[in-house]
Amino acid sequence: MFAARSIKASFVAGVKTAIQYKGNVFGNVISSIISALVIAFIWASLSPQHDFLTYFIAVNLFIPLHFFFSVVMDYERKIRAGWMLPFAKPVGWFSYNAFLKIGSESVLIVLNFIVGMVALYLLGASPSVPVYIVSIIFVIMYEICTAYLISSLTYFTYSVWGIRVFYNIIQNIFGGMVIPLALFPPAYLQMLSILPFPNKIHYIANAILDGNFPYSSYAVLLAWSLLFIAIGYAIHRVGMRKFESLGG
Amino acid sequence: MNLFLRFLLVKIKEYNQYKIEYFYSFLMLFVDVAAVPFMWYLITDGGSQALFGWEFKYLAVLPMVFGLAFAFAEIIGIFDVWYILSSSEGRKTIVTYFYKPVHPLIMIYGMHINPSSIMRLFAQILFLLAFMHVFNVSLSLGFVFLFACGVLVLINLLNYSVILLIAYERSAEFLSSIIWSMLRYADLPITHLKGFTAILTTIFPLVFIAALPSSALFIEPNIYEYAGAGIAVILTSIIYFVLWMHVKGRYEAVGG
Repeated sequence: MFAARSIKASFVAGVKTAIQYKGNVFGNVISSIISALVIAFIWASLSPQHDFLTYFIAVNLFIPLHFFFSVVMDYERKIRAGWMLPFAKPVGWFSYNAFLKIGSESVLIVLNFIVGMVALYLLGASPSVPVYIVSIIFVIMYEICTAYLISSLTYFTYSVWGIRVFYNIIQNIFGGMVIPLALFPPAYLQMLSILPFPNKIHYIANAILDGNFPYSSYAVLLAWSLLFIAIGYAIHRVGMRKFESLGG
Repeated sequence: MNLFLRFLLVKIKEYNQYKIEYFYSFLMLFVDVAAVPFMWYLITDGGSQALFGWEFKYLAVLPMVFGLAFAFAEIIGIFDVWYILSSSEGRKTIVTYFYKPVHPLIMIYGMHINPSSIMRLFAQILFLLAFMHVFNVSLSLGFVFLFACGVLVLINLLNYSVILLIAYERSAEFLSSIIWSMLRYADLPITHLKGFTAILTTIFPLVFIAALPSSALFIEPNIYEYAGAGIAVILTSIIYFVLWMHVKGRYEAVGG
């Protein structure tokens, strides 16, 4: 009960923080729209026979990509700052950061959802709200587990900035953010399907548009999440021991 | 200038402690010279068929040229500067740069120079030369001119967000998130796009970053492309100058 209250408090703090910075929320929504339009127009111009506009609107407006990076960055800073206040909080630092960010990003997610739905209905598509809601839960779960793993590397590398940027670019390219995976040869796409990237972007965007639940994508995301948590937990334990041996 | 060089040396020594950033540069090099070209290779059915009228060799060179421009921008640590300035401590310390004997922006970049990107730049040049040798492409003056324009436009554009970050604190996130989300589009064959899309991609100077110089490797640029690139550099430089004078004025007005 105590932990639940603390988690709720972290979430509410995140929502309030996001609402304070209205410019950032507005900017993120606007940049998502511009980003979706530019990439869709580029591909529509290159390949008029495909309906890439609805696909890229679904990709850009429904997938909360920024979420993962802000969790890693904040947690990385806490680790680097020397864990000055970890025991003063009723929940662990990672949980605190994660729920704080779920709170602050939820404002963006809701705004993007509204703009995205309106845009898709105007384009004549009929996106599925239940598929969107279930998918977003799986994506958030996967993002948190990835953030947990990557931030654990901070103990050894001091900075995980480069790893985050690399991860983001690989995800953009091989997840279908920049190049539509529909153009890929089927055998190659099948090979990519065991990775989390297309399962959290390409397949989910298509499922939202089709209205069918992408169960295999959920299974892949769940498997990767469990793997990341297990590896992350082991690295965090080793890192903490290293930290404590230095008097942290 | 001595002070600047000293900062530079300190930064290189500091960077050597964090080997992970060199590893990161290697990964980025891998993306630009191997992963993205390999993807185009697969999509064009082993390089045998053209995609939207573009041959594989043209598509493969796009990320290589983009990587060159990106490494140039990274050498002055511009992304590191963003990261530092986005913290409240970073914004407070920025004031101290105004008291240094060299231009504050040069000072900021000197403090955040990225030696791992220097390594990446040299490796990328080598890969590009090898690629050109394999595909029997010679370096034209048009390529050099357009590439230099691309780098200048990119640096000017990134400077805006640093300046806006200094002046208005968090408001530059809007600009930086647009730049971040669009930079990678330079990997796409965006030259020769038609109508509104062509205008749209030219407004965001992606065309000058990779696509236009890359096409100059294969097709000699026309007078409009040279003029367009020159105007883009002049315009973005004027905007940079006006913004900088504005920021300087703000600091001096509050007694900085």
